Amino acid sequence: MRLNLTIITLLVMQLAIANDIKFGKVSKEEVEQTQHTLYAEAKAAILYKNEWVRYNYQYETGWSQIREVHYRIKIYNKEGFDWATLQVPLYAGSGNEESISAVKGYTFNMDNGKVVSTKLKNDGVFTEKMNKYRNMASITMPEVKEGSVLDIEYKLVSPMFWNIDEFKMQYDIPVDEVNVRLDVPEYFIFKQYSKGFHKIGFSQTKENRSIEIAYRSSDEMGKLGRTTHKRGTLEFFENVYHVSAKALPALLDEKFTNNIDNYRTAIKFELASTRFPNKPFENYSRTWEDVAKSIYDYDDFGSELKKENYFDNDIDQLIAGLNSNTEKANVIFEYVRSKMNWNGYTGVGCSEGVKKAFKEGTGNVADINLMLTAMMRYAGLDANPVLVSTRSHGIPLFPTSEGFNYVITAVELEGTMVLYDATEKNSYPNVLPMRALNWFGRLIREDGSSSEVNLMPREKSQDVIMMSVDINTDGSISGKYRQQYTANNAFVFRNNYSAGSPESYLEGLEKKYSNLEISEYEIQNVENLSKPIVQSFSYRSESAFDEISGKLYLSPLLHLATKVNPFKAAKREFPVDYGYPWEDKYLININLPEGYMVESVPEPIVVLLPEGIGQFRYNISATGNTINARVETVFNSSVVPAFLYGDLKEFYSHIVEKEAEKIILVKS
Amino acid sequence: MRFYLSTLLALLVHLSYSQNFNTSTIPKELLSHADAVVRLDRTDVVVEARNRMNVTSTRVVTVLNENGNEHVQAYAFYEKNDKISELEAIVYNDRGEEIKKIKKRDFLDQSAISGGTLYSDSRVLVLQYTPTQYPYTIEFRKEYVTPNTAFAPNWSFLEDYRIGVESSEFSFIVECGIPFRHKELNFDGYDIKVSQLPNGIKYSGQNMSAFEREPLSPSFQDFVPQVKVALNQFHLEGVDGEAETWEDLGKWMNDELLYGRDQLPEGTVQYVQNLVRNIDDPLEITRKVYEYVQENTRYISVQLGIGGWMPISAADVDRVKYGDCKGLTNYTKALLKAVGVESYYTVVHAGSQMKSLDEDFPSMQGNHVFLNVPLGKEQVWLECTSQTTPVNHLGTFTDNRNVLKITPNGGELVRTKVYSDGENYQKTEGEFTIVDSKNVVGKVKIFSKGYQYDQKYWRETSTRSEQEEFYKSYWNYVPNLKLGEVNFQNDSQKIEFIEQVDFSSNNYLSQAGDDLLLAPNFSNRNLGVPDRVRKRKREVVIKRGYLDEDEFLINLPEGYIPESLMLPVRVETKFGTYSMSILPKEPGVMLYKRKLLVKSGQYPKEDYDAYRDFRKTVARYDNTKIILTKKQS
Repeated sequence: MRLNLTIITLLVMQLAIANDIKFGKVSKEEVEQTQHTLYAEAKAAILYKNEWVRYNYQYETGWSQIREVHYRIKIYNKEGFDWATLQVPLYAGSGNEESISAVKGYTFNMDNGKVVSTKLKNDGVFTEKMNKYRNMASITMPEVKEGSVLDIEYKLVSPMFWNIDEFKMQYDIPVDEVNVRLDVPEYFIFKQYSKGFHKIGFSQTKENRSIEIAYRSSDEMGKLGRTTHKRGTLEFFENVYHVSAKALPALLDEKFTNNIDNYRTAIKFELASTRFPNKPFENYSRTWEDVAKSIYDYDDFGSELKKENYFDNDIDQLIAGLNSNTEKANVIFEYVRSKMNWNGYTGVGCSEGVKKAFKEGTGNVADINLMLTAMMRYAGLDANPVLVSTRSHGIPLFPTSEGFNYVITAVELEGTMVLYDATEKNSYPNVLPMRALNWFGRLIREDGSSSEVNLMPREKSQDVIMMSVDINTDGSISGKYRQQYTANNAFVFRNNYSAGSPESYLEGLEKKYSNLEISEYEIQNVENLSKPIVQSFSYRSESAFDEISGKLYLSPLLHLATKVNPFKAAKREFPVDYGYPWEDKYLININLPEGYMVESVPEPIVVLLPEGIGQFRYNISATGNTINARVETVFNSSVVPAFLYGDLKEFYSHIVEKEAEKIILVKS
Repeated sequence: MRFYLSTLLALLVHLSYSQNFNTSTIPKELLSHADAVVRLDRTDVVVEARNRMNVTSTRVVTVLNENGNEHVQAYAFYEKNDKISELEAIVYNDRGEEIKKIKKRDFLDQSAISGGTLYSDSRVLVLQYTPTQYPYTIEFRKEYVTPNTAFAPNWSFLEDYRIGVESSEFSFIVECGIPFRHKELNFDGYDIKVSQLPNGIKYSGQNMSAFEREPLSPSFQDFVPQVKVALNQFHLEGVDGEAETWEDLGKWMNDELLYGRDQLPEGTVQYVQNLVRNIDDPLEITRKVYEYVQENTRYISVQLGIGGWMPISAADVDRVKYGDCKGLTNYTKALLKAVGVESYYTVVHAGSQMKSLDEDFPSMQGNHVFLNVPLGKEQVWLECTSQTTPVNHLGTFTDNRNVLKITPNGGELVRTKVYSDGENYQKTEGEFTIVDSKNVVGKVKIFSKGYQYDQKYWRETSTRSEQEEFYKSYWNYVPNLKLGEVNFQNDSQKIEFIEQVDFSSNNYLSQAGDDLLLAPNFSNRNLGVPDRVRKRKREVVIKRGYLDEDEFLINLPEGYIPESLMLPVRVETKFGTYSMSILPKEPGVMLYKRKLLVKSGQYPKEDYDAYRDFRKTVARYDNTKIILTKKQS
């Protein structure tokens, strides 16, 4: 009993605090404050954010959702002025238009030791039609200066009662306090999912509610041809949720981060089931299995996957005479990849439908890859669609059909699973575009059952460079350069290369290595995706080494040396994410000029990252008048966790240091 | 200002005869350095009345590769009072066979809001098409009517780099008898026919090869053929105008767009008068008022109808304390007027390209406004959209160009301030101590003015993490840089900025056998060498010069001496000079001195390699290392 009592007291206290903050009533301290108490660098802060979501019912329109939002924003300096304008995106799809109303605002400033306020007028509020699906409401506050406190309140009405937008608790400025109240009629059952690194307070109570409903009745057999206005009362209880968080730091992006939104502190309420009187219980709560199944049942998914008659003849011809499954898979993939053109849209469902897409040669990702799956199945292969969430879509918190926005194809070949994505002209079996390399995918079989698929490439993408260099007595060097890219490295290269003309690529290369005079450029396998990209050229460079008091100093890596540590920040919050494992390998052969001999070469070293994540090997030896260097940087894992950031930074500082070391040559 | 729209409106269309869009018929020379080729770009403008202009265009573009897609430009911007009567795109394959037709209703209608604008009623219809093959050709036709004849379309025969042009035609016809002016630029060397029509003019140009980008090039607009047209009587969002000279145009802007918009509430008038009560010097009064504007307003751009060209009233800005360049400039002007200082709203083409308003072609030009305050002989300039720019600091945004000053008597073209090479000055003083034989502890003081001030003064408000990021990339040749104390002094009256930065670096020196290699230029290496260009085609332009001076004291590590001394270096070229020396000052202490002057100027294209050589030399010397050997004990 005692325990219960404590909980209740806590809750009451929390409510009391929440009620303390009223729109339009700011304290003098808030306005006088010149910097944030915890985060002195903050340009602005959300002192307080309150959201209250509740439901309404009207006879004609049914349920709707009302979200009332109150922001109290403190502007510390001019850099924070952006926060004096709020933008609220509004969904505007057919029949489901969201609207904003009751926009109110005050700006508070200090004036001669007193707090003065300025009211937001209509000319500070705009709603613009961005396109067919989206409107944008903008609210910009008057009289904003350094130190201003802004109170902004608005109401958003949405007919989409089944969807409650995520409650965000973290922004690119600190948040001092955020409270959310959510009143949900007993008919709707929501589940909660939270994310982020910061604590979220949560409590739940029940309250009774009644709604007066006015409705028109034209029944009684319509004898009098007259409608009567009636009133009724709907009595029910509501689940009332309180969510709160305090003292949240700004969420700031870092380089090599996947999607920053994955780390934002937030809570999402997801509709699990509905229970209306006189209606059967509807369960929306799902496992990933259920989600996969329900997507499979969509008309624009499963049924599209079953269509065959638009391609059957083409595929019959294509695979005639082929015996191995691998051959068949690759031929069909090649066919779809070259025939189809991705229109840039994602989605797990077809937008055009496979038939129309096939005819026109364009479609969204589902049009293309479901077509690919269907053709492979038709050819007798064990092919299945794999649902994916792209990097920009983030990592879903919980099983939901919105958790996926992309689909690729998996084929079982000789006991291993091979992944295909035909949206890109340069993609290859098991080489997927970066956007798809995110978290896990979900494979759906023909019977609707499903299982998890690891999307991370197993194969390391290589960048292998071989160089043979002659040092000339006139102070220049001439070299032969041969570079080989595999897997995702080759994919990225081909995309850049084929976007423009070969001539413009070469010009770009010359600019990139502007100290090298390049000649005899050759490239192989641009079209032959099964082979690595190989580019080679000869070059001459004039100032590749230093001559100091008769000795020659040169870095054995020449222009390939890593000069700058890519990791500069002192610490890091989020993992480093390269997307795929990789390996850079440099094999360099240096021929000494006549009349010189080696005085010294750098010491070989090996640097290892913990947990076998990566390694750097630097080997060098001199024999006769040649020097051989072999330098390798390997990342076995595409992700380096944040707690190893210090090691990673140090790893790179060893690389930079080692690669700056010089060979010394003296006159023999 | 929304003046930029004029160039976009220039991309228009016409009915075409039956054409052959087979890709193989494109002349070879047009394919070189091109990602796309304009097969036909034809626009016919008919001015039916002062407030009615009909524009018909046909634009056919063959896209050769993915990078060429951006040149299709099948879109139509429109304002509230414009009517688009025809909009259609037809796609052809490489053999010139039609493969798809896209009607007006299938164009995506969206807001044409651009960065920094909160609300605008400009909209755009955009073609959505996924190419299914390369090359392919799009024929795009557009016809619209607009009342806004103030912006008669200008015509560029070549519109961008990497696009060749097979045929480009433009006609301008005035049916209503209004006189018009036209000006042709950079026609030399091009096959462009000009035909005088009874009430207009027509141009037609053929076979123009694509241009490749080159570093340090003149601006694209300065060398490609183009035509400017302007009507002497025009209309703009409900307002009529008449102008043949800059004076007239300024007068019209004054009377129709500015007059009466500088009224302020009595309270505000009194407030600013109080603010400057005890100040006599008009420059100080100006400074006080400008500071008041900077501290109390912010930039928000809202563009509605004539509001795209007319400032919101000073009284409205006074109430909400925000506005766009027009609103904030007009507000500052009103405040200055209230304290007896006359100032002038001034139209400029802002941006680092130094684009001037065309002296001998008065028309609606420019993309920004700011304020001119004549104080005796001096012209003082105020950038009213910035909360931080000092009084009379133009920087690269508005320096050295013709601008239109609007006075009640009319417009006046004036030239803004030129920064001399020496005025763009930076002096770095530093003291560096080598500890534990390979590490460095250092202190630097960097003094900047002129446009070098421009590049730095915003740092004053940077956060520690921004400073970390900034200095670690500025000194990216310093390994393992640890930033110590950082102090800034921003003297906005003298327009000078001082950075005092402490830092340390581990393993700054590298090992070479038993010796140490030390690069004495710790904190101002200028390593940028412009890209190699195989065959330079255009003259070399250095828009702004600068002067850097550096002096570093270097305390050598215990037990090491410099192996041999380097002779002082002095390089003199027509592009600038460089000198560097490193000399012993006292035992264990060296003094490094460096001076780099880069001169602004225009040089023939043949000089490009020589300029590169100069910058390579600078880069090489800035990377110089000296050898420290162990003292024989």
